[in-house]
Amino acid sequence: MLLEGVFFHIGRFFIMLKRCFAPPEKMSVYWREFVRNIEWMGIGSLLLVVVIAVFVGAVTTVQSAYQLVSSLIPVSVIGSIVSDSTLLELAPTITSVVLAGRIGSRLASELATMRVTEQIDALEVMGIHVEAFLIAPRIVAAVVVIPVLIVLAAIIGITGGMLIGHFTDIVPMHDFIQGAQETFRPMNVIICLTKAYVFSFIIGSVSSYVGFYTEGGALDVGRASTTAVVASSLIILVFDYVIAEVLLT
Amino acid sequence: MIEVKNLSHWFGDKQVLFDINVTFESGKTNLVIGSSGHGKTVLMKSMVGLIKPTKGEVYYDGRPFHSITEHERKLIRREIGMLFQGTALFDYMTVGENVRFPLDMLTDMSEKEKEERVAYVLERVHLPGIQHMYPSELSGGMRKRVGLARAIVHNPKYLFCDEPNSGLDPHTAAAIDELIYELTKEFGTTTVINTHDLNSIMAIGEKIVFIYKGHKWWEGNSSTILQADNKELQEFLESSIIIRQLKGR
Repeated sequence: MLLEGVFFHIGRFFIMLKRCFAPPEKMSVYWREFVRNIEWMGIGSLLLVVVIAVFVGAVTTVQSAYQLVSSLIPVSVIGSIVSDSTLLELAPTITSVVLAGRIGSRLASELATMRVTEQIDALEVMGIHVEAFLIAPRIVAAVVVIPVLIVLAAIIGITGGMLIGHFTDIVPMHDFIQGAQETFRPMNVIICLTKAYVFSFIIGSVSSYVGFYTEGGALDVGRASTTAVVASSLIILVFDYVIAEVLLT
Repeated sequence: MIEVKNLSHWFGDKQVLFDINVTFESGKTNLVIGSSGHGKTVLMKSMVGLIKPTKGEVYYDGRPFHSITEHERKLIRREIGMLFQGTALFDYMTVGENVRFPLDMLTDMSEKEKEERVAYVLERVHLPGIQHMYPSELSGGMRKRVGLARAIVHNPKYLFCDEPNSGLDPHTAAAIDELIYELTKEFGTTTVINTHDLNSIMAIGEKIVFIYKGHKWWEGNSSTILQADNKELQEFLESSIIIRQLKGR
């Protein structure tokens, strides 16, 4: 029964994605919808991402220093640990999980509200490709905006870690930079970007799916919002492992 | 003209519509009446394609609606306007954007033509100059009239109204009825109205179809309804004190 439910949702999810490719009735209206989503996703999430990135970088620096108990290990290693872990895991995953909460919940509740207040029915009656108009611009906006936020989070996280290390006398700035440069591998950036794009697609599509197929009333809108966050976060963590397994081993 | 032929529908094991055969005429206000839960909304949703009926067909001026491709169905849908019970206005759009939405999506009109058309239909529904307002800033009656403006803005051949005066005070409800009647005459639309409002029945019931427990139970108009020899219909009508007084009981 559970397996049947899982296959039902997977099947319906892919049918929904296929319908997103229907030709737009009017490109200009779709573009307007895309820009509107870009605005609230990007500008609305910027401050949150910056604050989280600064603290994640700072905490990683402090904790790395705490774990380095041997005087034989140079403090520049902290720069290496902070930059690598921020690029590989902290920036893409933590930012995505947080954004699943902010962007995913709003996507789901917006579409669920449209469903329960018959706004989606109204679009269907007009003969509009509903999935293409409502879901495609949201997914594309998420895939454009979220990776930018993740890259920003990586830069701010590493910078924040470096500044906190410097001003708290944990690691001088030049040692931090030296450590970060010594172990830097371009592959880390590729992994960071891969995660960024995969996770942003998950947030956009899974949350839209949950919201779009909501049935019922106001209570179900709240449920959809929660379900979208939980489902997106879990799928992000699963794919986090899969990407690490595929690209790091 | 809209013809409904042998329309039946089941929800799981429960049959909710039984072999409905009815013709709705052009240029007339056709009312579908009956108590809540007797199948009016399912019938209307089947007619506009929000529900695919288990059996039967709907013909729009001779063109079948359900036994055709999705693309062909979308073309017919573009000739349909619908006023939803909860208005289904898009919350994030202004009144002007809501009303012009079908024009943006379905026509090649210039910006100027669209602006003029939106201004004209808003004037027709007695709400001139409110293009900049948001649906949340409007009263229930104003929202209904904006919903009506959106439904007629693209000159539909077929107009559906689901409970157009539910939740409105008697004065506003009568104004909405009058407006729908006027627009039907002005544009020659085939108008189908779901209602259980007895004032509407007497005021604009040019053709009335009474649905009882999923069956078409009676058919007539406002001048014959009070004399109809139909027990269930009379019981339905006599739920109104005014009708009881009118009939001298």
